[in-house]
Formats: sequence, C-alpha cells, structure tokens
Amino acid sequence: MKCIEMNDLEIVGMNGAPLVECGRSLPVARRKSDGFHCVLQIPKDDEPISFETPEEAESYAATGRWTKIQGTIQIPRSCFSGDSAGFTHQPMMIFADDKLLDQADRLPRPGSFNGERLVWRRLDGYDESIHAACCSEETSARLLDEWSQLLMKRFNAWYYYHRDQDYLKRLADFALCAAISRGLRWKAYLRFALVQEPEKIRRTFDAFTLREFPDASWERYKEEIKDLNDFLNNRTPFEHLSVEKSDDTSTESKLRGIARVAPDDAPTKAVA
Amino acid sequence: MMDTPQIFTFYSFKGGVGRSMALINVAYSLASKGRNVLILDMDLEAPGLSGFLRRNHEIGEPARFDMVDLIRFAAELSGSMNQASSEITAISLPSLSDIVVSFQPDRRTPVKDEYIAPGRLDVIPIDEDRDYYSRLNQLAIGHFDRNRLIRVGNTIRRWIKDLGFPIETPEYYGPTAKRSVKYDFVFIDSRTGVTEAGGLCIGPISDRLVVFCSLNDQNVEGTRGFLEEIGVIPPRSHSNSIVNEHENPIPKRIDTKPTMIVASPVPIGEIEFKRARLKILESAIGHVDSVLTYHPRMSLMESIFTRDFPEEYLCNEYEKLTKCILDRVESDIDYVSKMMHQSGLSPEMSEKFRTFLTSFSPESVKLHINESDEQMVFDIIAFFLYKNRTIINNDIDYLLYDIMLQKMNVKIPPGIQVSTQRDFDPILERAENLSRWSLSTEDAGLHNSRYETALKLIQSRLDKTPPGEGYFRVLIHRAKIYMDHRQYDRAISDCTKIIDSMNIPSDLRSKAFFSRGKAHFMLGKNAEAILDFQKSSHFNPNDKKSLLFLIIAYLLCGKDRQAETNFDLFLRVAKPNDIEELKFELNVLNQRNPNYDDKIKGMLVKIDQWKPSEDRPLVR
Repeated sequence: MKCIEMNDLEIVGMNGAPLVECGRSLPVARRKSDGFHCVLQIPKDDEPISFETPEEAESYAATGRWTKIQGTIQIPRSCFSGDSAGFTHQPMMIFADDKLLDQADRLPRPGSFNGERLVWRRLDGYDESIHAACCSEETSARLLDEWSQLLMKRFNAWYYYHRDQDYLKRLADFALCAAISRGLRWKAYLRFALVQEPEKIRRTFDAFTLREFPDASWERYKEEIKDLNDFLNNRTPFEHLSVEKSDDTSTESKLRGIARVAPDDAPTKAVA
Repeated sequence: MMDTPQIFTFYSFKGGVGRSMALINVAYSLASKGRNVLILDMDLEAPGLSGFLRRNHEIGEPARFDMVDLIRFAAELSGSMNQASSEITAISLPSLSDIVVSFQPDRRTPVKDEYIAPGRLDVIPIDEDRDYYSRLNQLAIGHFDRNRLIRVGNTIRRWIKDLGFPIETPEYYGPTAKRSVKYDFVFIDSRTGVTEAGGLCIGPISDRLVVFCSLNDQNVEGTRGFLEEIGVIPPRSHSNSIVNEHENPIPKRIDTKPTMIVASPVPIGEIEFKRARLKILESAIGHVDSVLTYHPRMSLMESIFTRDFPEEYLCNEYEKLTKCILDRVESDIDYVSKMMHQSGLSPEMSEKFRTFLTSFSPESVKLHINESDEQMVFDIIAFFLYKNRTIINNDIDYLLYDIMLQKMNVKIPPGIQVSTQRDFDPILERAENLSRWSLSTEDAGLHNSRYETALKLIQSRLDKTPPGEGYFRVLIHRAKIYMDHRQYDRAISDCTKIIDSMNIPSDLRSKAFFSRGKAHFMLGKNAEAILDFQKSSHFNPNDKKSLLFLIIAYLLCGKDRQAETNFDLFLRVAKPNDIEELKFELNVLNQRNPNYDDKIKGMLVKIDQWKPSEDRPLVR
C-alpha cells in the first residue's frame, strides 16, 4: 500500500535512540485519524505499511525502541507528490547534538538545507542540546556529509596550529560520526587514527575500519596515516596566505602609537 | 551606525582604581537593559575579575579553554600569516561553547522594564586552576614584538566581531528568520602599566578605550605618559610637571581611538581639594567623562552595586557611566535604525518608515532613547506597521510586525492619534498578523504553525477576559480569522454566541450578523445569509458592506427585484471605494457562476454611469 493519506500522517518520533552525537534514522509517524503509529519506510513491492496501536507505540517508546520528539513535524513535501499519492523520496530523521554543530560552525541549527525546510524538535527524555528534524534521505546524507567536512576542516587547522590532543580526538570522533559517504568516512577514519594513542590505532582498524572497508590493508592504512600527518604538518590549511616575519631587532617601544594602529577591518587607515 | 559588537578596553595605569569592578557593574547594567555583553579578562598576570566572579559564584564551571588559551591560539595562528580571514579565525579559534562562560541566571540583574528581555552576559575568564602558571609561561607574551601584538590583536578582534550566539526562534518564523545574534558590547579588562598584555588590549583589538585614573600625581603623571606613548594624546611640547600645568588648556585627545576618562576613586567631601585635583587631571589628559566616588564597601569588599545596592550613590554613578558608554555608540536614530536593520524590514517598508518618522514633530514624539522610553520606539515601529498592515506582503515585514507587537505596550505613544482604534489590542493584532502571514505561504507546515499560534493567542486572550462586551469583541476577531481560513462553521458558531448574548452594542451585533451572513454565503446558504445581512444593516444602517453582500445574495437566490432595489440604494450612498469593492465582488461572482452574466453586466453598466453623490446616511 504505497498510497496513503499524507495529510493524515504526522511525524512524532524516530526509530531507535540517539546513542551518538549525530546520525539519521527512519521517522515514526502517527495517523491522526486513529492514533495508530508506523515506522515510515517506503514499502517495497506494494507491501502495506504496518501500523501499531497507540498502546504498542507507547511501549516501544518506553523501551527505547522508538524515540519520541516533543511536538510533531509534518512529513516533508519533498518526499511525496500530492496529498494521497505515494512517496517519491524516503523521509529520514536527522538528529544532532548542539555540541557537534557548534564545532562544525553550524549553530544555530539550519532552518533549511538543499531546498528543504528543517523543523527541529527536542527529543523526549534526552539532553536539551539534542534535536531532530525530518527531510529526504538524500538531503540527510548531504547535510551529515557537510558537517563532517566542516569538522575535518577544523581538525586540519587545529592539527597544524595548536595540536590540543584531547580536542583533536573529539573533532575526529565528531567527523567520523557525521560522515555518510564512503570517501569521507575513510578520511575521517584516518584523522581519527592520527590522534589516537599508538596501541589503539591497530585495534580501531581491526574492529571498525576493516569492517567498513574489507579491502583495506593494515600496511596501506599505516602509510596513509603517515602521509596525512606529513600533509597536515607541512602545508598550512590556508596556503594562499603569506607568512610575515617578526621584526625582532627593533629597539622602538613596542607600544608607541599602538592605539592609533587601525584594525585590519577598518574601512580606511583611521579608526572610524 | 556603529558595527556591533563595539569593543571597549577598560585600562588603568595603576591598579586599585576600581577598573574591573566598574567594568562588571556597567556590564550587569547593560545586560539588564537588554544588551548582550561579553567580557574578556585580559589582565593575564593578575586576573582579579575572574577570581571575583568565581569566588562569588557569579559564573559556573570553566569551559574547555580560557583567555590564556585564546591568546596562544591567536598567536599561533597569526604567527603564520599576515591576516587571517573570518573563515579562518572561525575554524582555527575555539567555538563559542568551548570558551565562553555564561553568568548564572539567578545572579543576573532583574530587568526593570517588563517589555525588554534581558540581554546575554558572558565572560571569557582566566582559569587559574588549570596549569595557569605553566600556560602563562608558555604564552610568553613578554616576548611578543610590536608587529605580533598587532597581528594577535587583529586576529582576536576578527574572531570577536564574527561571534554570534544562537537564539531560539519560533517555528512559525520560517526558515529564513535570523537564528543568531551578535554581542552588542565586548568589554576587555586590561593589564595595568606599560606591558605587552596591556599593549595587546589597547591596540587594534579595541574600538574604544575607557581609561581610569585616580587623582594623585603618580596616577595622573603615569596615565598621561602612557596615553602619550600609545598615541591617544599628543606629546607635551615642553617638560612642565603636572602641578605647573594649572593654567594650560585642556589637551585635546587624538580621535583615532575614542577614549573616555573616568576619575576613580574620587574622595568623599574635601570639595575644594577635589575640584582642584580634577582640574589637574583634566589639564593633563583631557576632559573627564565620568566620576566614580570612593565607597567604603567597594574598598573592603568588591560588589555589584547595580544589582545589589541600587540605593547607594555609587550605583547611580555606575549607571551614569553606563549611559555615557551607551551614548557613545547608540544615538537615538541609530538605535531605531539598528532595530529596523536587525529585524530586516524590507527596503520598501524602510523607505516608508523614514517618511513616517519625519512626519512627527519633535514636540509630539520624543524619540530619545533611555531606560524609561525605549519602549516608545517599539510602539512607534509597531504603530507604523499597524498603519501599513494591509500592504505587508513579505516574510520579513510580517516577522518584524510580529516582533514589534510582542514588545508593544498597550498604551499608544503620546502624540499619536489613534482615536479611531479604540479597541486596538496588540495580542489580537498579532493573531491577525499571524493569520494573514499563514495565508502567504504555500508551505503547509508553516501555514499550520502560524495559524495555530494565532488561535492560541486568541484563546489566551479569551481565557483572561471576563464574559461581556470585551469577550465578544475577541470572539469577533476569531470569527474573522476562521473566515480567512475558510472554517465557516466555526465562524458561524462564534458569531452566534455574540448574536445570542444580551446587552451588547449595536456595532458589535452588526459585525456578528455580517460575519455570520458572509459565512453562510460562502457555504451557499443564501437564504440564511440574506437574513443576516438584513439584520446587520438594521443594526448599522451606514454599513455598506452588508448592503453590498445583500445585493449579491439576492442575485444568487434569483430575487432580482430586491437585488435591483438595493443596488440603486447602494449607488446613491456609495463612495468610489465602495463601488470598486462592488465591482470586484460582482466580477468574482460572474467568474463563479456565468448564469448571472446578464444581470451582472447590467449592474456593471450602471456602475460605469455612476457619479459620486454627497455622503448621507443610508435610510431605507
């Protein structure tokens, strides 16, 4: 039963629970007319969507199988055509912790992405910094990849300039958590390994990386980590900017006329 | 208009003059006036401010990084490039939540004006409990040369200027609404004396200086020398000592870095002596902008007077200093413009607003902004938008009107004549604005969200209004919103409640009959509609709208003679606007039902021959 009355459905939660800082999951929808719930997945081969009673839905939420959002969200218009036509795109819930978004420089949470409106709702029973929104599957993947790219960009800059190890671990962890596309996930794994203690690198490779990339070899992995280290160390992340040497030999007072030095952003030399 | 945030460095040549406590008192005061303030403790070698805030539980747990880290990061970043762009500083320096600590909500100054939301008050402190000495040593700011101080200052400045913190926006605002806000003021607590840390604070990082100086020679001489060195005042032409400069004119400060001078602490009593010393101070470094008097409590125990001791004279002096700082950056028109700019009024509306503002004489509308009449600005903007509400047609104007109505006082600004709007109610107006706004979008989610918010507002008003005329006036608003959203049954239900009630004024009863008649009409119940339109005309004989719809309803029922009679009557009393409205409705009817084509054409011919007559009451 691909055709359902879309205006009779509203999203009230997501399948599963948010155990990491960001990710995506299938939406849980409620039929307004009778209060029955379903996991909103495009049915294959005209199979009907199976609906659960309100009591069953409550028990799923209570046991953590589903996570309720505070309030409701409309099913994105980008996911179906016409009020009672079938799905054209799989809707997905995307969730994120503000701590991750802050590092990705994406706070406040985006109100739209890829032409789709994003309505963010808090998750019931979770920290108030975690929110979820619904969009098409394609948009959710692109959005998560964008966050991962931004986090890796920050990682590169901090690796080059500051090297705060704990902070870098956190950034790498976030970037790996967000990455969806295969290429980005590989890059994120390399950065994750780059800032781990040596004894943990092999363990991470065997336990996680190899599972996702069965063709990867340990030797090749090690080489790529080394290459990345050299690359990040030897090349400023912003190579178009030149380096200026300090004038260490000046005997003039350091503070002479310093209040009259116009900031870089001043429209003219004089301070407005 | 100044760009925000404006960065003020609070500097003193010597310690113990009350600089840090003045900074914190002014910051609390500004936050209570709705300004967003960020404090940077850059007194690296003696972080008294951070210690005070921690000891007194004004702030919570430290963040991952602190001010020492920020300077180190900025130094590392600026060590490898001349000029870091906004994008580079954004990703290479800490994110807001990793470095900024918010003041405890329960320690904030209560907001005096219920219409102004308190501003945000944050600090980047120095964390003395986390390897402070080793990190300070590692930073080695004493080895920074002049160029490096300037580059680091510029890097931190750019980072500060781009900082924004997220704000919660209601869902109904839509995806284009602004979701972050910048700080209005950044206050830097500087290192004293002639040091590299002090140089960093007074260099290009800051827009303005607030220099504190006590009245003794040591302070005055040192401050003068320092201000000369950094280029705020011109060097002395001869080497007179200060005490011989009584007769010299007050030196004019060089305006490249606007500087305020605060005499602090000034002793109590000793009037003549005090005057003489203030004169010496002015002759040395220029006009004194503000004075802070010695207070025994401040000398023994640091305190936030603007929160805890509002009755004390020192609180008043801090408030004067706050006003002085506000006046430096926000002129009245600046403030209004800023609010308009921040709210994003559309260019067309902005143009209209300027014309609107200039139409008031200074006597009738005082636009001066201070604590007591800031409210008036909101009122004026809201009133302007109210006057233009029918032409609002884009998201940003709807949004601004919504924001302004939320801030709007029930009282209308003095000097503005609104006698025709005796039942103006910002909450009901907000509901109607939201209702109109909901109809402007094709996004079903946004439509519902705005419409539901509108209905909730009306319900909140109904809950607070006792049964009677006021209650029914709210109901008629709701009926109108239901009508706009084609919920005719609900509109009929609300109107019927009004019609069935006793002791309500004729105008209200007439409106209820008209709205119910129109709801019936839209549902195709023309017989019921005719009865209601007749009643509406009966209770308000001058209401041409009822007559207009009566004509159309008669037409639809096939009662051509009655339609003709009322049509002739209508033409006799109509004004050009009424005629246009009738033409519009007849055309709508014609499109909907071509069976009436001939009748309507006949009426349109009569309309074309119509000439305005003298306005007179409609009597049938």
